[in-house]
Amino acid sequence: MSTNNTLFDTFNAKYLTFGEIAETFIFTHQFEELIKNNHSLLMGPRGSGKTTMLKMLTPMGLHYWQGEKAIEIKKRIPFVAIYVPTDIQWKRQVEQIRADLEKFPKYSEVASRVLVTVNILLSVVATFRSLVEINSNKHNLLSNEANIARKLIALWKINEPTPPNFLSIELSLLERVTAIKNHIRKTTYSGKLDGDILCPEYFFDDYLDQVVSACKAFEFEFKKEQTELSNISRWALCFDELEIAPKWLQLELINHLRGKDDNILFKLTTSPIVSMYDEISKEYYTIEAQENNDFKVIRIWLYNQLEKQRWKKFGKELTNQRLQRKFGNKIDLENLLGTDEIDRAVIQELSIPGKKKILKQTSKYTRGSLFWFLFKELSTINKSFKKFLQGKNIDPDDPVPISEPQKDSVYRKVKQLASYRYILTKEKSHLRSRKVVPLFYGVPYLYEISDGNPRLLIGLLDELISNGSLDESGNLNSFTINLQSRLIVNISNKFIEQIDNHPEANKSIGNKHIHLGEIVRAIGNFFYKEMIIDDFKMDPRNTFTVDSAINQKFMDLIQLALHLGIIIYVNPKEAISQKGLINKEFRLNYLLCPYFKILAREYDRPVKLSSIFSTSMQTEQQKLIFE
Amino acid sequence: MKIKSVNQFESSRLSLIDYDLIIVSSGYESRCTYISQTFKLKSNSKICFAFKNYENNLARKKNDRFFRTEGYRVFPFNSDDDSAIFDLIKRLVDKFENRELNILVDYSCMTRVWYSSILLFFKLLDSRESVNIFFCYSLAEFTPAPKSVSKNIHVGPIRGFSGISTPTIPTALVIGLGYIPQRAYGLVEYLDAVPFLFYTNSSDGNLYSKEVEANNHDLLTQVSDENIFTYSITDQQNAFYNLTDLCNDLRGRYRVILAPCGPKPFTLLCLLASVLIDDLDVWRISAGKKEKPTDRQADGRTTVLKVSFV
Repeated sequence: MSTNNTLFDTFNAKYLTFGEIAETFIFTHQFEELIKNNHSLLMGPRGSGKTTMLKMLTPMGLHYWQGEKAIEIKKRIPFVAIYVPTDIQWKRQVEQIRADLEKFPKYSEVASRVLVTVNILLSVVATFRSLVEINSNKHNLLSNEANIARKLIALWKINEPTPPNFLSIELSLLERVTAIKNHIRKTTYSGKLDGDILCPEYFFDDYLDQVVSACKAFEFEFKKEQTELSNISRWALCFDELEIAPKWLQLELINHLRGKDDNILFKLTTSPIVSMYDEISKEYYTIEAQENNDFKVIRIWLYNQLEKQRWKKFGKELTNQRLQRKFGNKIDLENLLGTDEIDRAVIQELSIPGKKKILKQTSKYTRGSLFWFLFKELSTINKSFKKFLQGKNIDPDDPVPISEPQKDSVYRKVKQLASYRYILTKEKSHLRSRKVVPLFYGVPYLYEISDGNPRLLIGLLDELISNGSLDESGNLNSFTINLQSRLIVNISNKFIEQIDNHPEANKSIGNKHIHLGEIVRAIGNFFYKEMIIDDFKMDPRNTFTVDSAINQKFMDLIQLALHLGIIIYVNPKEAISQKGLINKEFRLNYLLCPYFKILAREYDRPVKLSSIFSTSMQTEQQKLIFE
Repeated sequence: MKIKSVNQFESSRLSLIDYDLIIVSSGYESRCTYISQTFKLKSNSKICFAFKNYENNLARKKNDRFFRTEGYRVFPFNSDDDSAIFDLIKRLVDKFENRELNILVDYSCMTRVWYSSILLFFKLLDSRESVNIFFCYSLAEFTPAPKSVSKNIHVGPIRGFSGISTPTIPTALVIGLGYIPQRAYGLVEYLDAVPFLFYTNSSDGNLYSKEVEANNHDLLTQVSDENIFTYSITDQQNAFYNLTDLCNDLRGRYRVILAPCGPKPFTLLCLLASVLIDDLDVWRISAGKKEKPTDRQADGRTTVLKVSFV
């Protein structure tokens, strides 16, 4: 039972086995942070590897992880991780229950809590099972299991008689889920008042009390064992995808970061910003926990230059691993795709004689060099560029640098922008324009546009390799920059299609609808205009800040874009924010750059989102946005 | 109530039964009246759900006139009025003494919310001897899929057809493909699910199934052949067995979501599967009111599924 890979489903760790995850796990500095003895908030967009890290913290993840680094980390890790999963189906089921129980607000909260508790208890059982299996021998495996299982049955008030083993406890907990479902169904159509509904006692059990008592029981049970089990004194509750958990749970968990029980740590994964605004109650929540004092934030996206450098190293390791596993040592990606130097496109696009001779020139900006030709050509077809050169005291007819420092301060800075403008402007003036302009190629570009997202990088790599042509010996031919650009634009288009088809990307405001795809296009088209069409400048705006004039429903779509990694939070200052996205700076995911034909680069000159919409959207849409 | 049996029923035999209740609908499609006009349906209690909007549409006016003349009581509803439909059915059914009931539902022009509410009522009913519901559907003449596609507005569980499960095992997503492009796209990634596809085979008309294949080309090529199933609208019984077989096979390893994006008879099968098998979620995928009204004519074929509840 398998499917061909789509762009994003290649590497979702959620349902991979621990063995599968451990086999391809690459150690990162974020993982080093995550194993520290503190509460952590692991933040990043979808696909950035959060679930992989959480699952690698667990006893089973660590058990399957091999190698020197693994041995060293296993010795140092100061807690046992309990991985608590969540997913969209579960989220939507819980939301549906909330909607069905609209007339029973108190009961609705109780029902939501008991469902969360059961999910957490199942995770505790799974962790205990792993610990016992890994650390027991054939002589004491069953007795170890039975001893701790008996305690859980008593502590959690599991129906007696339940055989003292983990499977039976799991089945009893799953029976609770069925019982809860039936209770909810009967209540919904019972006609009872909210305050009159009678629930079984376990409906009111607090998940944290239950976890703490189970963990203490485990420690007590095994403290005399001559195994690793006797050393356990600290536990980490690892909640995945906090942003899709019920709001009450999000708030509680964030408040737990203040540190309630020294023996229980919280490791939470979430989107790059946690908004403390509640859409339903229209309230702004305050929290006591403070970043650095109470918890550490671990960011897992490319928010600065250092992270970009680290990502390139990681990307190289990941692609090598992938190619090695698929093709052995046969494929050298550098040979196949080459570099991302803009010279490769410019020399192809310029209509000048003696190209080979030009390429051999060591100095790139002297008279007769590649960029000398480019600047000269561009200033003839683009008046604003001509004016720009003149403003820098550069002669458009003979654009040689007037000084050595000018090479750095002007030439190196604008050569890519000028190249894009030249190729795209020339393209526009053609009667029959090509479907793809050759601007998107090279191994570094592949890392760049996958934008810190391992799942995306693997998807891109697989898509490229599967579209390559073979030589007579069956080896892959190297990819021309035209072919690479075509394939990469196709992938970028697919990304836009996915945004267009995302089930939550549509919001109704009154009787009108606004779609995330429209928002993304408005932003991308604005940046294209800024970079390619408007007067040439060295630092075109291609980041934006979200301002408070915008409708909350609209804000939800921006939050969704952030969660999905469609927009990237740059210069992050706040992790948990009362004002959510307001006044934060964002850019588009680099994978969208080929679609919008813009450079994958920031210029630190953000524009207000409301300004973008004022210039790019129709009046009717604008009204919706600012209502 | 529980489903006792699901059987294909010869439409020519519809006139042989005295129905306790007949439920039809009136909207902007001419085929709304086809079944009532074609088969001599007998009942002392006949009701018609009429859309609150499109009242001035020509076909709609004609349909309303026909149903009123034939003695149907007309009840106006919004397209997503689930609880109002539920309450009306409750009022009507409560009046009958406790004996076997025969009810005919012509859902050809009903919204999914309407006929899911009817089904939900019987799913939750536990004080009846037995009920036979004859779900009738008049197939429409082929009209090409609209060129401009409205984006999905409603994507989520249908009320009463969503369970609760723990996120410890993966999701399997069973999509019923329709011919509107992109309706089913994005769901697989959204749910991180293993996809399974159902669509109508050419026995229901080459033009329609070809359009389904063309407009879902990407999905059909991404999903492995063993996860793709075809069915015939006019053989719903067989399709139902295939669907429930698959769901039973998937349960335990997956949490199953049924996402019918295609013809209404497949949605009905999904709802019935969810009544029969616990823990199947049925999702509604729809563009809501953004869908443009198109007058569809009946093509002369009727498919009837007899569902017996006990």
